[in-house]
Amino acid sequence: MSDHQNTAEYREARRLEALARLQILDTPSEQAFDDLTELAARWLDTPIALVSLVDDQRQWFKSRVGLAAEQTPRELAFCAHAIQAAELFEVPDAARDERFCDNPLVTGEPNIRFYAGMPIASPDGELVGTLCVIDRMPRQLSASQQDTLRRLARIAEFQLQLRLSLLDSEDRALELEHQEALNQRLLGSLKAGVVACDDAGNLSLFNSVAQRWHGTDVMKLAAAEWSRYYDLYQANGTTPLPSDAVPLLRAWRGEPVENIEICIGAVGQPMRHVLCSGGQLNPERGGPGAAIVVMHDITEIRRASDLKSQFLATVSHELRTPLTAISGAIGLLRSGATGSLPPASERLLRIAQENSQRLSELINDLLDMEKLEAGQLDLQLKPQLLRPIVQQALEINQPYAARYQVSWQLEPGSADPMVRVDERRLQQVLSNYLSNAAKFSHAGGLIQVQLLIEGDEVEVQVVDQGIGIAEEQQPLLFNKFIQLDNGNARQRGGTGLGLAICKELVERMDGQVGVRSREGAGSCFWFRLPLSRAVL
Amino acid sequence: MTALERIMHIEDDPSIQEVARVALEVVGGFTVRSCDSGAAGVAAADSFAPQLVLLDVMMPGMDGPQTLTELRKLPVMEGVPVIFMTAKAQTQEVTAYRALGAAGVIIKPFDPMTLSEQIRAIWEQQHA
Repeated sequence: MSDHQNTAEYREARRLEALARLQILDTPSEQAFDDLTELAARWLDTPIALVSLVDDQRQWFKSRVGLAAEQTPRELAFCAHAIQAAELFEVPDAARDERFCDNPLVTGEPNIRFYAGMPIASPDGELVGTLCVIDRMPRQLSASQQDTLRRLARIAEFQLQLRLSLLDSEDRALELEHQEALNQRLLGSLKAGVVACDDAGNLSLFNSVAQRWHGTDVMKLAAAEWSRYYDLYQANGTTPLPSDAVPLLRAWRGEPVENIEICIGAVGQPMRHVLCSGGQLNPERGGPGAAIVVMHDITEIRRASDLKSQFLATVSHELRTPLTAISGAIGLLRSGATGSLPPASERLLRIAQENSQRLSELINDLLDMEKLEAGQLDLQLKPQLLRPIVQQALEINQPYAARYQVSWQLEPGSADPMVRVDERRLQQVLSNYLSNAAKFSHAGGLIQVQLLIEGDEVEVQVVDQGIGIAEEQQPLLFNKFIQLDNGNARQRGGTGLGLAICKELVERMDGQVGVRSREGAGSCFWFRLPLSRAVL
Repeated sequence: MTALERIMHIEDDPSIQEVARVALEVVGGFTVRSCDSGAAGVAAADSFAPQLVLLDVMMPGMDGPQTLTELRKLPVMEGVPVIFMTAKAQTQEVTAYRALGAAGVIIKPFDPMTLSEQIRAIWEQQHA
């Protein structure tokens, strides 16, 4: 303990803080304390008994018997002496005691001659006051009476503690009430729907938005009935939502609920698409438990997205029809089926054909991306051998290799594992990797394709010796509409969607994609797929 | 197996109609009857007696599936394979066309140089 902490001022400051914490000064009388002073006066046979609390300027009486004053100045207070030590303080004859003989309370009213005070400690051990008895004639307490005074003081201490606990719990109740009112105001002002259930899985709350969306308030229903009574549907808006898929029920079971789309129907309202997120209120307890789910109305977003998909599909179809005629006509002309062409015409037609091909790829990519994002691209996943798919991709894309004067080979030691994939879509991924490798290789370059088994996965690598990719640009490669600004990327064509589509497709086949590259030293584009245990 | 000679092509877009006709006649050596609507195809079926029909899916008026239903009602169309030609060729769409009785599906944009081969392959498959 430091010197400062030892000083009388410091100790007194702490004592006063403890007294303030009791929140008792200047409060109305309380029966429990009045009973104590009454008993003290009766058992110790004194005309005056007090519960005195010593403040910085005064002593204030929480309870008093036989005394009219509510308080007296501290400098006159016998109790100010009594609280200096945690033991009974007794003055048998104040008139003969030099500390008190000229005290106005001794020389005048109430003419104190005898004083006995037992200090009362606060719950944190500070001596905040006394239970004392006073007489107008000299006397001395017997041992038994001293014991009585000590015991009564202990009861006073206990009463102070009890009173403080009550005050705390009242404060807490008030705080809870305020919090509850605040929560209600918050829930009412939210534009989101909020639903909650208790530990037993009974619905406990719909905020006003949730009530409006459901067309009703919380009903006492078994969880299995929620879906039917509240008209819940899957995201397609038509298939009834199975009970075990209701987001609040999933949250109650402790499952993660994040951005789950469902539809809510209600009489007189259009079908509403909502995005649900939530979870248990006390997940650390484990097992099913009280849960809350917040729902955001995405009906407009969904409608806009559907319109966009529809628009894109229509535009794509309208673009494809003339494109079919253009590329078909050019193809026929270039094939010589309608007669031979002069070299200049042949060159111009080649340009026209390449560009119609590019346009066609762009439309296909846009449609694929749209379908992937809308979750409408159905993959036909089947267990099959990987190497034949890769070999076929190398053959199909041979014209690319020829065009960019590169060659490619499947490394002889490559594995041939079973994978569960959509063959056509995996060909699409491989074609994209191979055509990129060809485009960004130097003429005469070699592109190596390898299949390596690592644990329970196979990694397919397409390794070129081309221009490579700067490190800071690599993380962007698989994002949508990214074409790296390396000077000549634009000239090499592409939609900026190819690798983003590859990523989506491979991930839909439970795999991952990535790239390792060094600028000027070539790139290795890879994808990993889990091995299939199926046997052909 | 009878050789495939007469193909009816029902397609509302005149450019595609023309490209397909040149591809089938010049590259494939077939006799082609081009019709610009489902109704025109149904009307011409009796007189042309096609051995195979190449049918667009999205057309104003009668679309491809409706045209197929009407064609199937004609005695002259008995056993005649019908191939859908479409840009709408998602897996589930192709499955639906086959369920309607299509002998095959050719995806647009088609390659005019291999169109005849594709059709011949389907023809041979049908008569295997």
